[in-house]
Amino acid sequence: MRENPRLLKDSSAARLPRALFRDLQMDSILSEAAIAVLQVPCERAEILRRGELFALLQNGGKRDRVSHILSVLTDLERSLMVLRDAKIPLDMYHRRRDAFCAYICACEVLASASDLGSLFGDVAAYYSSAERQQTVSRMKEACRIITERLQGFRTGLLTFSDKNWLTPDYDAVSEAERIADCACKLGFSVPERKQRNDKIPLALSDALGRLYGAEVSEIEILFREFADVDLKEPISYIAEIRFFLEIYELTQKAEEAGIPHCFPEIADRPQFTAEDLYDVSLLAKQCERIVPNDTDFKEAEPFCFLVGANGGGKTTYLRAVGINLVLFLSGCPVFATKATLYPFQIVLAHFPKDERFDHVGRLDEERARTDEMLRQSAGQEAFLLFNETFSGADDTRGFVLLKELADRMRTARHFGVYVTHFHTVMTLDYPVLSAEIDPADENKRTYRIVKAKGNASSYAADILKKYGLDKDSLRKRRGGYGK
Amino acid sequence: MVNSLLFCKENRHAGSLDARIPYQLSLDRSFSYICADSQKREQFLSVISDWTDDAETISYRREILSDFYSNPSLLAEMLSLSGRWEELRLSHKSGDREGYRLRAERNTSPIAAKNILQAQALACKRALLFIKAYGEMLSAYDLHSRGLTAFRDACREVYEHPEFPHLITFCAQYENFSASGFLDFKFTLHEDGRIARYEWINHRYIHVSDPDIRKSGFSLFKKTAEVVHPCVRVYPPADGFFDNLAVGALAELSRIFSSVFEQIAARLGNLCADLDFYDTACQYIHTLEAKKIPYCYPGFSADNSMRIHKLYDLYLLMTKASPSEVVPNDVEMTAESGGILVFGDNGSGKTVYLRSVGTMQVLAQAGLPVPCERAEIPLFSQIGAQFSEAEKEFLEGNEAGRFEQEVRELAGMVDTLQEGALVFLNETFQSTAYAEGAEGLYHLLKHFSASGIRWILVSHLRQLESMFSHGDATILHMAEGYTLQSGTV
Repeated sequence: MRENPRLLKDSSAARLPRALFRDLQMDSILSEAAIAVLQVPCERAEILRRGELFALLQNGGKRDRVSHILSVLTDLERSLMVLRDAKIPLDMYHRRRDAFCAYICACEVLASASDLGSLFGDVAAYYSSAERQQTVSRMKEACRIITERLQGFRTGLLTFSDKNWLTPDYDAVSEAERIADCACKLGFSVPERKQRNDKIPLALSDALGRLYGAEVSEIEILFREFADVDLKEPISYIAEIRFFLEIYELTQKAEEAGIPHCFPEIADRPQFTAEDLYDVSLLAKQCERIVPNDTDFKEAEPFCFLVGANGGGKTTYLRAVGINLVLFLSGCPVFATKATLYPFQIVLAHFPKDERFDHVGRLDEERARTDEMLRQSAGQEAFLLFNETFSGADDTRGFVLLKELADRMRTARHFGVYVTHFHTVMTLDYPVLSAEIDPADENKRTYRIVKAKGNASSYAADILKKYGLDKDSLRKRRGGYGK
Repeated sequence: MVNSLLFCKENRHAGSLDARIPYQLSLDRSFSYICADSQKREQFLSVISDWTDDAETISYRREILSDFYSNPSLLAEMLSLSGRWEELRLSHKSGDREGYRLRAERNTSPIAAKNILQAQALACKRALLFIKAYGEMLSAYDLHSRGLTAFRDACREVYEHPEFPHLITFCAQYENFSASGFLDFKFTLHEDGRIARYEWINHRYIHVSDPDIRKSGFSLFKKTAEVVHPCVRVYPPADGFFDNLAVGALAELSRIFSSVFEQIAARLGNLCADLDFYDTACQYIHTLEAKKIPYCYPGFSADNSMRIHKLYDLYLLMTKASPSEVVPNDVEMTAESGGILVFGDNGSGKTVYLRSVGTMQVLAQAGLPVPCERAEIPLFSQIGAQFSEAEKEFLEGNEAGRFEQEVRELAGMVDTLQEGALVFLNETFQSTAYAEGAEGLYHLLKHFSASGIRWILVSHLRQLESMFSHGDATILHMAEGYTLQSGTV
């Protein structure tokens, strides 16, 4: 039997490590389910197909359609869960009827999704097959009959004395109605009748089953006709649709914060160039202003160091690169005004760990991790991110290790960024980026990442100025000059 | 049925008086001489603090007060009946809470549900009978006030309705409800097959053809065709089906009785508290009469002027051994005048004057007579007051100076008072340099005047006198013997 087509194909052999997403702080902006999808990078063709659907979601009408499909599928999932718990016969008939109705709706909305891009197009074709349409049509008719039969069970009278009886209800007026009527005539309002919502008791179900024996038999026969139908099949799309909508919501949230997004061009040769690339994980921190940066990683200069003041946005830059690359590899839009990216096979990151190193020293642990990263990425088109790696070592030792690592990256032709506070990287034969005060910002409080000019700015003065503790600021605080 | 004997229409409250004003005007102390019952006094003061500037409401209260004053036995009977009504209301409240607790915990047994139903039916019946009792009581008197006649008519409308005895009968039936014999229910399912309702029904709707009962013997007469009613036996297992059924059905009836009771309680409103107000008001009038103090209901001036002849300070009247020791004063504020400035030495009676005007205004707008020979006053939308007695509120460790506290209070007033308000200021800014205080006050008073807020200031800051030009304010001086003299400009 043909399998139903998926919206998210899991064709990649490589799986990005979960720790990468923690290091990039993506778990602060995305759900665990979305991260699980992002862990599996796509091939070029799949990136395009997903991109097509993401682009369609920008259209309000199409997005509502997708949301509606999700809502219908969620209803089916809920119906099936309730059916699973139903044990009392009459309750079971109702739940199964509800599940059938929900299944019919699910099949119908999926069959009509052919205009929602090629991913949904495949799904629509599958649910529009003649065989399935016929099943749905027969199921509809069965549901109609079952509903009609169940309707007859809806009221009845019970009398309890020495023997207990159930009889059909013809015209019984309850005492509550009579008293309420009297009170209303006197000008009092009566509370709306309280609706219960309890499961039908077994005793009542059993009695109704006997009172309406013929109808019950008919209902059971109708249900048996569809015993082979897999009612659960459509709900497998729920998680997939949620992924698309969650990424769409992230783009909306970013847009509200003034962060644009775009669908990158897919490069034929390895590269990562972007204009105004943003770190969207900062949305979770309610930052007032998020500063974008440009990136330009090409085969000629695939790797660079990044130095600069603490608080100058070095880690933000690193995250911006990592997050957007990971999003791109899953076919999602990236947070930049323009970008050209290559579908790298693997992305790995090395961020400082907070754990205590009980058995090995910090430096040894970091060396072990970098070795493992290079081993994993060997022979693959990789993008590697290093954040203050070997910062625990003394300057001489740390610098030696850093240079060794950079050389191995060059040999392997890997792409990457290495954030470090070793300013001596200026002396190495590698490009260096630096966090510099944005000259466009009059308040001198923001930084941009630029190509270093030869020395890595006056860090201490920048920091003091940023926090209003430099000479001028302190004099102003005292209330005048010259004091 | 009326909701209140204090307000003829809903939403006629203009707001609340600042809680300190009755205290600053010594109203609490004055009325402690008039009404010994502290609870009633509190209620009376709370009505006074519930400010109204609606002439219709004031007139509405005056009419009711007049009815009670001329029919003292009516007030006594209503107070007695209302006391019993209040007891019922409170016991129902606590009983209902118990019922709610039982329902909320979902452990109500049919016995408990039956007890709750009986209690609710009894309370409902008693509440209905209270309406009848109030109506019959009011019908026995010759009433003229809109409030009491409307209340009487509303009661009659209920108890003279043909359905009234039916509802009483229903209440009586369930007050003595017994769960023996047939227990008959109607159930309704939701569209999705879940239980929507269990309802109690009369046994006459039940038609059962028990197959176990076979007719034996034979008859010489031709048998008529036997009507067979479809029915099946129900075998309730021990899963609480019957309990659920009974509790659900009985709770539905309880809710209706409880709802009717609540509506009666809402319609009777705070009758007990309202009557406490009129009771204290009657005692106040009796006290003035006993002391042979003239009193009147002020007229409301159309042009915003204030003219009061021989106004007595209520607190002095209550505390002095003889009313003759109290010097009455006249008050006159023209329509053009922004306010009144009263100057005088310490102990000259400035504060007493301010208090007497404040007390008069508050009592008049509460619908009460005031201790003066005649009065014509404007109705003010709000009252503000800043009294130097606040000094005693300073606590050790409070670093804010008195001047700063006054400024803060006045800033609050400036924020909240609107056109049509009246402000009483007693020795404001006396704790700062006189010239600075006077200037500050001047600008503040001019601001009030420009905003349509009237004011009365007693002060020893004589610099103010020269700051106000003719007609801006009425300037008065306290002379010897606690009498007032018009000031110079």
